[in-house]
Amino acid sequence: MPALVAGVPAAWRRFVDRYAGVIHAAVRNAVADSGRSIEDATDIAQDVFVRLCKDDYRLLRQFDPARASIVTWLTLVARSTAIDKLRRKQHRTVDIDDAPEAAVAIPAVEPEHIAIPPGLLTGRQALVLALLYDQDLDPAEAAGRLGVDVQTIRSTHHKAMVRLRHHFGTDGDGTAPTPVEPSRRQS
Amino acid sequence: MINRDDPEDRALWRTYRAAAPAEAEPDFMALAAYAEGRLEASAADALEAAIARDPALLADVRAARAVALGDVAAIPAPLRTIRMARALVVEPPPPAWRRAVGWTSVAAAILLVAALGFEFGVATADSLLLRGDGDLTLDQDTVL
Repeated sequence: MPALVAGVPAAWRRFVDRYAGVIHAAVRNAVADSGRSIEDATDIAQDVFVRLCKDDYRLLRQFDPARASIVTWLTLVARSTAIDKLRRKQHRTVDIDDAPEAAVAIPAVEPEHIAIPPGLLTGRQALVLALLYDQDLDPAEAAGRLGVDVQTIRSTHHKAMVRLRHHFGTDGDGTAPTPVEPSRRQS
Repeated sequence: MINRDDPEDRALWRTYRAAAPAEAEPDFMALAAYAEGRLEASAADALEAAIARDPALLADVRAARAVALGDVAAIPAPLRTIRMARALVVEPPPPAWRRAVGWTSVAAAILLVAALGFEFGVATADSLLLRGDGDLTLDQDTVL
């Protein structure tokens, strides 16, 4: 690694030869997961390598072998690069003359302020609720995603809901707070 | 028993999600350590809060975990990918003085060849014997 981030070409060639397969596989799988053509994978793989060596190997210098293996780390970097690139491709600009008026109208909104104390929910509790309510997974599926048993999901959900009900004052009278709706100014 | 259709529970979660402070974007090192089960508990909790906001991160972690466990078969990279990646880092150009020495050496070699060629040409001309009949013949001892 020292020779690699020092810019020694031979070290870089060894790195490429050794890990190109890992990066290519991660990019290819990310592209396939998004339903896009795998022909994009080669160009995206090159973007990954560019990202690794640019700015004097800034990203590579962040790698710490004591915390995780390089294969795991490269998989995450490659997937992130692939997803970023695919998202940019999706959000291509459209000529404003071709866009319908509704698409360019931006209503002015002012979100209501609600105080949420730090640590109201633990990260695990928030994640479980996100899986159950945002991704509409059933408890068994959520358990599979997190590698825990179903009872853990149920218990975590229960504790999270107790905290939320207590915080929003719904644990006594059974009434739920109105979901936050931003106020809208009529322009 | 979890009733995901309970509107009250959904409302509470959405209210919380809309108002909760955003977690800092996790770095790849933390995600990798988390995928391998090596992240310390407090950091793992913060990371899970971030993942709750961005479900794509969970897909990334699962993919990385599969790789770490050896559940994903390696796919050889195309030669084009390897060639292009290798070309990103090349030998730096030699310093100016070395280039100057190189060109000077080339020039000196050209001059040397030219001088030697001239000498051989003169020697050849000296070795030619003009006979009375006007023929130009070479001295037998001359080696060209």
